Amino acid sequence: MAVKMEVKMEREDEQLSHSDPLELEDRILELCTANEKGITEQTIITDQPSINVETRKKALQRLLSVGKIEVYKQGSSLIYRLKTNVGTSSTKGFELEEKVVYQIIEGSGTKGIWTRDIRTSSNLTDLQINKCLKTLESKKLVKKVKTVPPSKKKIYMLFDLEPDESLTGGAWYSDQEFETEFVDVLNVKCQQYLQKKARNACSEHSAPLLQRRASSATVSEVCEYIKKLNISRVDLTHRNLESILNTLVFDGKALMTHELGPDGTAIKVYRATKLYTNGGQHLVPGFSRTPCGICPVIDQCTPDGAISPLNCTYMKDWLRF
Amino acid sequence: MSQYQSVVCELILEESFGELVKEVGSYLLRNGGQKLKDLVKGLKKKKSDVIKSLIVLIQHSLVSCISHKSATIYRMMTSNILCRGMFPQYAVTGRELSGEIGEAIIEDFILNGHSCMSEVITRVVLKLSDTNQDIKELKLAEDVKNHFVNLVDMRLLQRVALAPSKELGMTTPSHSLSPQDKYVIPVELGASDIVAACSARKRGRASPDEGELPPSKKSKSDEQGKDPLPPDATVLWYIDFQQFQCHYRDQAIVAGVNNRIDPIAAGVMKCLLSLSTQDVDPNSYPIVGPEIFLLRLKDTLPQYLSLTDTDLEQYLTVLTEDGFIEKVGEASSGSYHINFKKCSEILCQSQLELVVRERFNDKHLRLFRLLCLKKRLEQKQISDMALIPNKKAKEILYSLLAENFITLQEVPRSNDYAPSRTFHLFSIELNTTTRIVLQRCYKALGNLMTCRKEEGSKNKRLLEKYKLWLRQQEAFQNEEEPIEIEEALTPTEREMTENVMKKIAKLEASELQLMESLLTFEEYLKFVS
Repeated sequence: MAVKMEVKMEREDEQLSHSDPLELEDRILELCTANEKGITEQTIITDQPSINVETRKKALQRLLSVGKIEVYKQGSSLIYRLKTNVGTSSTKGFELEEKVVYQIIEGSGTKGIWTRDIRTSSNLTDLQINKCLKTLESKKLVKKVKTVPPSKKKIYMLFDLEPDESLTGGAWYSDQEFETEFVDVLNVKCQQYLQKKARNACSEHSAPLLQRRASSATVSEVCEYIKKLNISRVDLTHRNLESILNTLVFDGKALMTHELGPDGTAIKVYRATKLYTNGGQHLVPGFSRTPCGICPVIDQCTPDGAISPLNCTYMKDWLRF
Repeated sequence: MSQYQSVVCELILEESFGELVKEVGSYLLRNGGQKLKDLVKGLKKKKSDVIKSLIVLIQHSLVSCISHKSATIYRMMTSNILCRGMFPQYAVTGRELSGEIGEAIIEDFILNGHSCMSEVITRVVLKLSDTNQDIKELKLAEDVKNHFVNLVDMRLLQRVALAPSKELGMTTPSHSLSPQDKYVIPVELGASDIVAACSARKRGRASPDEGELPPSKKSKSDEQGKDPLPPDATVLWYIDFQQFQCHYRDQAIVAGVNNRIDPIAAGVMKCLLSLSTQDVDPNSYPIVGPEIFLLRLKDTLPQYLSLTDTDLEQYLTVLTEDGFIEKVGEASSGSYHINFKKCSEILCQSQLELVVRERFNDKHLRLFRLLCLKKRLEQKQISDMALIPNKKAKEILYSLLAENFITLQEVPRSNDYAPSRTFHLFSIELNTTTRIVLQRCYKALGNLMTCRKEEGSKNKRLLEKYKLWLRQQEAFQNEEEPIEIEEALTPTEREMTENVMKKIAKLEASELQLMESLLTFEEYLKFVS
């Protein structure tokens, strides 16, 4: 798991240093606003020396195609300057179909839109739409986003928008795949934290109610602990950890209660609980200790049928000494 | 009654009383209450045989007789038969609560059915003095009597009311005793009477012509010579099944509190339970127990807990938070009552959860509990909440559905039930799931008993030979004839027999454990039905 994460982190770093056109675009726009007369490519290089040529070229191209900046030739060098009438002209120079498709995609916001929905709302043919999308994509005006299962659709949205969490799946998904191991590790870590807290509470207090109060942990406490452990490559929000803590509640390993916070509002607290049937002979119910308790074909079992207790292999294995 | 229950009942009857009684019993189980005439006709057996079987069943409180117009209707008491399966446990409980003598008294009832007090005491005294020659009979008789009274006080034994029956030529029990009279001992017995009876019995045993008579006849003929009948011959006693079941329920609750909170809380709960069940008829199933005032609880709390007032109040709060008890009022520094329904629900649900965990695995348990908590959910919501990928969640949900642990409800948005416009809601009906698991428990119990029976009959000759060999070995222990003994049983045979005995012991132990699970589920279902 850890190795896998490291590998992923490296990959992420690579991506950051080589292709971060959006960030660079913002920086270029800032530079342009600062220098009304325009900037040369050299200005950008001195400002962002780590960015390679390819990225810089892409960023400038996109800014030009969106119409946010314009280019002039001054002597032998090119000057980039902020275009004054930005916004109104975002669809200027488009063909009619492109304009319609762009506007539909723009209207869908961070949720994005599926090609079939574009077709129904634009009344264009598939061929036309595909052509438009291709040109818009090449101009870096829209982008294609793959959503997480189960829908797994290809969805279009404006290039500079961050896709909604319902499309990317949030912190639990990477490359459209659910990170079961990651969730399980966090689940175990949270449980360990709550159990440790409960043990400490047990040794510090003798009164049962105080023990309970002392063993409760708020979401922010757990969040802090997980951050310190440094096992996650993504920033886990409170909501993320709350859902992890909720899985502990569903597992029957923790209990959620409300407590009065310092500002008088009720806050959620979690504490580790013990099972009602735990320890000693009650660890597993009598039923589950027999082979019939875990038998997958118990419903087909009859005394004189094909599956019967007398010829049952599970029973024979169980009774072998 | 389900098919699986009746299979278990038949197996229990066969094991305890043999083939004939089993046939009569299973006819009654399958056909409901019957008149003697119809019973004889339906079974195609001799009337005297049927009467004999009925007497045995009545003697052990397994058949009830209800007068209907001019005839008597005989009906099986299913719950009592199933309780018979727990008899080994009853004997152990007798030992826990009342020592070796208590165990012997319970065992005697198990063997002989309804008996009058003097008979039981005499038999127990004889049995105990046989094994231990040093005990003085007079003291032992006094001891046994005290233990008997003690068990009656604990309500583990109850009186059986009698009504004469011409048909069977005996007095049959009827259920006309009021709850107050059930536990009253009407006749004072002197220890000397018992000793006299014991010595008479011993003489009877010594004379060869009477040695082979069954105990009931033997005692009669004994007493004809000296004393016509024991003074309490008309007052019959028997084990109170319900009270035993209640005892196990209380034990389960205390164990639950112990596991969930700590031993001190379990002590408090035990005290609360004893206060709640003191004056309550075990046959009535109150959802909540009687109100218990804090002051009364403080008085009865055992010394070893040594709780301060604030600690006790904290423990009560903790127990309230977990749902075992409820606060009723603030009068005289607070009063509480036990919520029996909630207690049994908590225990039943936790058992079910473990059954799910063992049958499937952790993730199944997560979804099962999630549905218990949130009642009705769609598949998408479930996978989001439980943080299980959609595909996996689907697999888990449908495997739970296939085994009937959860249910699926379709809520269509249009009349055509088109899948794309229909909500599929998963939910758990604790009641239904419990019933299904309960039936499986009965099936499992039946399976185990069948296996044990088969194992026993398959190796009958071997087991008998082994017993004989053991007896021989005991007899020849001090003599020099080891060769003969070895010949009687070859090492392979010995190994085989020991293996069979191990198997049987394992099956027996599992049956008892299974009964515990059964009890938890049954307790819960008593409240919901």
